[in-house]
Amino acid sequence: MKSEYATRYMILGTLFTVMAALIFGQHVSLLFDAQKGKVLEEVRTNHLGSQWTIYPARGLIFDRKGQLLAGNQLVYEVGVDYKSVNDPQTIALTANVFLGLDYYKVKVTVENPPSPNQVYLPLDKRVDKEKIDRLEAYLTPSDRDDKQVKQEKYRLQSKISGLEFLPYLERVYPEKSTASNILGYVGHEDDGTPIGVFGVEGKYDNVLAGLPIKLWVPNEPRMVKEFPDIPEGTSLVLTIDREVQAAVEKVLDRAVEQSGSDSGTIVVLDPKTGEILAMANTPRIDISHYWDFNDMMNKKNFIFNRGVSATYEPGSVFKVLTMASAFDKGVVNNETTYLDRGVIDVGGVTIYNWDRAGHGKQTMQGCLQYSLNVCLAWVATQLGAKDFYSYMQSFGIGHTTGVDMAGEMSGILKLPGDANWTEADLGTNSFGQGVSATPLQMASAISALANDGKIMTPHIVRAIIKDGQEYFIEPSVSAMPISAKTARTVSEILARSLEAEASDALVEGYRIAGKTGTAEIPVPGVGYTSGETNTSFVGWGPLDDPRFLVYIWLEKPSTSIWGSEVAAPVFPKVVEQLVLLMNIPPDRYRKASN
Amino acid sequence: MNSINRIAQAYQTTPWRKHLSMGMLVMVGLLVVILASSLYLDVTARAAAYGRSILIMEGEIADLEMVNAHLRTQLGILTSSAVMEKRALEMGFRRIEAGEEMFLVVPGYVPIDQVIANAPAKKIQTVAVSLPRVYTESLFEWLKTQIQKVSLPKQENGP
Repeated sequence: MKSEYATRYMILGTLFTVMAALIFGQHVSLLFDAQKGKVLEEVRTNHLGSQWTIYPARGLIFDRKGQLLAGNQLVYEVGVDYKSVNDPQTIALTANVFLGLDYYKVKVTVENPPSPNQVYLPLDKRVDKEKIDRLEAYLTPSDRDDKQVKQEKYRLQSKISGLEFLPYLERVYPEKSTASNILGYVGHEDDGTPIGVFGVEGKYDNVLAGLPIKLWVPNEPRMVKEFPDIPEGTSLVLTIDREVQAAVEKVLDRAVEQSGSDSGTIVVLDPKTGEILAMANTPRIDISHYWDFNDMMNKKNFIFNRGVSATYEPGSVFKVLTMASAFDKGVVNNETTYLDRGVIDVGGVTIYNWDRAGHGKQTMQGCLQYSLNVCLAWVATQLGAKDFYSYMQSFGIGHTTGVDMAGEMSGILKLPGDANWTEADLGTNSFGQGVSATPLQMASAISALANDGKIMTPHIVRAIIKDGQEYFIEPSVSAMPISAKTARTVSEILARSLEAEASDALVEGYRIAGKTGTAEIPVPGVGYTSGETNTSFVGWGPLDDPRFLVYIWLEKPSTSIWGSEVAAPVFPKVVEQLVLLMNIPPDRYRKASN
Repeated sequence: MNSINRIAQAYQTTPWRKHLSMGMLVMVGLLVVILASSLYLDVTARAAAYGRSILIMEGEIADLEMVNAHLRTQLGILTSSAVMEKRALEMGFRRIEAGEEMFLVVPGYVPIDQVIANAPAKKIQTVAVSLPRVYTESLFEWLKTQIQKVSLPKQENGP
């Protein structure tokens, strides 16, 4: 009896021993083969569930009055699930009729997977919700349908099995190209992750995007847990008013067209807060369809936002800063006169006036009124290089303003001690030659004159909205390069200059201060020989209580090379819109109400 | 007395009665196992069904949030500057030109500049951070909890 069972026990024992040895061997092999262990771990994990990454809805962007500038639109990715395909022909026909896709392209794609293991392939992206809704309405039986129609719809549903629609949110801009240069746009990284590019979208990408959350979703339904509340991205309220922005853009477009300029930029600032009220550029693009403008954007000299990213030699508008510095230092005053002979030598370089003529004895107002290079070069020499450059740095020339928009450039200000600085630079820099700045830098620097000597940090975001709460951003002073007295004195001089000249920049009913600028464009390695100019105008008002500062730059105009003829007449057109949209009554009404 | 004991002993030890008794015990045991299995199956199946419902509802919530975002943007598009201007022009309005405006001096009037943006409504926080255990625990887990509750000493209420 015992011997009869002994064989069986032996076999069973051997089997169990071999199994145990195999299991042990597998354990040992996994200990030494990390790669294999990793693969098995992955298989196990895949059986247990899957990792979901949930992206919160991107925060919205509003203008200062709460009008939507950037929102999210529901669109669909249409794709084919190869395992579920029953009838490629019906799928292709449906995709063609309802979604506007190419019939043959879809049919070939559905019939021929790129590889035998291909599970899913996208056919199209950004398909409108309306198209999907129309298809769904067509496929869903309604109470009005008779039995035959219902059966036909069910049959069609079965036939298009495998045609998948994946909803997702896509960035859209209701105002299309308006303020496009300020907003930037949302592109996609190689892995499909949305990313803000340029402007506010670029600068505040992390804030707007919110934090994506990774969730482990088990395959076992019993183990499913409630999803956590995923907060939306933070929304932003900008300082611009869409009506003001649109009006300024219209004025700019007309000015660029009429002057035959290559491009144009207008920056409107509130000098008391640093808020950017409008920033218009040409060219602009419809940022909801930015991919349609790839050819334009890929051009070498394309700049998305010239207001903050394009630097240029500003020319005579720079004289405002030189004169303000000299007044503030006390080297000149209202009584100071200068005998202009039309030529001056600074550091071995001869400087002439724009008309190559001498203008005789001039007050400082006359120097600015007739925009005399020679006089301003003399003023700079009176100030001295050390103080001149110290003031220019205080005005923010040569470094970024810190504006909260992506892609800001700093411009160039050569300083004494730099390898490429010569004494002649003091003379040329005094009237805006040999120094470069962005339009926003210039507007920000000159805003000191409109705000009692203080420069407020320019900014585009007025408030942020998080969890339903709106938090306003307090304006901050970035510098105080000149005193309030200097600011008012030079502003008054500039206002009188415009009035004495009967400038095209004057605005009926409002007293304003301003200065024109014409700058020759240097040819690298050759000098100022191109014959082309950059024309500018800067103005602010109302003089007794400035509410706006407007900086205009028209690049290479063809109808005239002079800022006084091209850029200055644009200023009243901008101001006429501003005073209406910002409810700024003419001086006589404001004085009456005070 | 002895005869009674003998009869009782004989009755108890009758083979068929032994078999019947064993059979009954097995049947009772089987019944208990079947009952417990049924209960377990029922609870597990319901938990699974609720889990599936939760997944579906989470998907519906995500879809509705996307639709809400879409509708909000559609509203923005319908009230965009260009659309509003077109509608105004169609209704016979026109933009005023410089000089056409009329200002009135209103003593004491201070214009309001701070406009509160049409912020998205605050999301309502769900009351429960996670699902109640009743939707997820198995019968054995429930039994374990109940046993633990019984075995733990009851806390006396303080004065």
